[in-house]
Amino acid sequence: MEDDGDVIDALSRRDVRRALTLLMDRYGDAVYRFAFEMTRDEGLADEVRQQVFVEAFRDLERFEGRSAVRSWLFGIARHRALDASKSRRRWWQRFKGDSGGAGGGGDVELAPGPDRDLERSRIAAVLAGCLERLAPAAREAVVLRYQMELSYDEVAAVTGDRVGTLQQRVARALPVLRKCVEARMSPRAMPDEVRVVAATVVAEEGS
Amino acid sequence: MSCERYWSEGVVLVEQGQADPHRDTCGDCQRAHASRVELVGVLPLVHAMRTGNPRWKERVWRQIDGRATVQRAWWIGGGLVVAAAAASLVLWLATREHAGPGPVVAARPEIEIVSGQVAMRSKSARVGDRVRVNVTHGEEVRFYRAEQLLARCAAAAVECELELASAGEYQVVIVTPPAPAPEVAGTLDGDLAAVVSAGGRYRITPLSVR
Repeated sequence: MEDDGDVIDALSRRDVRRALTLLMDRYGDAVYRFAFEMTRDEGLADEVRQQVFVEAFRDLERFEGRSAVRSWLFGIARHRALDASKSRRRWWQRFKGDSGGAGGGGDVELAPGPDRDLERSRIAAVLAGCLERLAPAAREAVVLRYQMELSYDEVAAVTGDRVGTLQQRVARALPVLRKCVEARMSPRAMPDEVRVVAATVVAEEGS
Repeated sequence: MSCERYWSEGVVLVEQGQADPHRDTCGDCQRAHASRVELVGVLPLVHAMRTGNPRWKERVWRQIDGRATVQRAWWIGGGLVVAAAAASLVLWLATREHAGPGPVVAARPEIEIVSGQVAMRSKSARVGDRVRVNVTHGEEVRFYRAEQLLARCAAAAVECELELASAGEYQVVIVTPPAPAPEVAGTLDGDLAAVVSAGGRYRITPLSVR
């Protein structure tokens, strides 16, 4: 975790432009990804990121250091992303009716060895879709905790929820993600064309 | 503890940072835990390549510098008008102090609608505009839409701004909070009643956004 001491130093010299430059370099991509996870809209995520840093510039002089700079920034991002989502009435419509993972059995086992990175990338792509299956509050908690890698205390500072509540929320969400990943990565989840090829290979091996 | 018990109970212990002695003696739980570690280890990779508009920083600085230019132009060009308005406001506030406690409804606070690069006085706005409220120290600004609280600006702020992200009937409320400040419930009627019953004052301005 960054301690952002250089940002605080810049602020103590009243060099807000320097402080904002550091924050944009350090958290610009993360804020965008968080906004994208919240809105599922690339254009909206860009708008949110812009608003976040413009707002941060305006308020940096008044930043009192009651929370870490990072959680303060994500707190702004959260509000702007929620505002943006609400304004287009996408938030609840998008998630209405989604309530958890698909079926499937066994654990998510990643193959060790040289194919590991490829496998992780594949799982990451599947996870991106699975995150959409979570309720907004659960997804927000998982994304902040494990995608943005904030501590639970920081997540609590961003969302205003209690740490214990967030821990329970994430603990309930992880099995849902696991099952979803399993279901989407199992052979049954393959496209028909792929499944037919696999069946052909099995038949040839058996003959 | 079976594998499924890990996902229902063991994973909670992990999130809480607590030890799970059972896991040390349970092969299924260890495998389940390893898959959880892999799962959360992959989460930072989700959308890792998404970075949005590559020129986003330029846009941020352009907006910041554009706003500063507009603000300078506003103060230079309209300095006399603003000074006169401020004097009127001070006079009005001074006379209002003698009018006794209680709400003053429909008074006109210093409210500007910022549309693009232009700031203007108006009671209506379009979606995407911003409303800016200039207040004196000690006053708090609250924005409501459909009588539900949207945002607040701390009493220490002297300028408060909100983007009008959706259409509707907004209410801009400037509160002179009593000490101690009453709790904010988030509904217009309830919050104003709390302010008044605690001995505070407020001014309210409706704002229509289309």
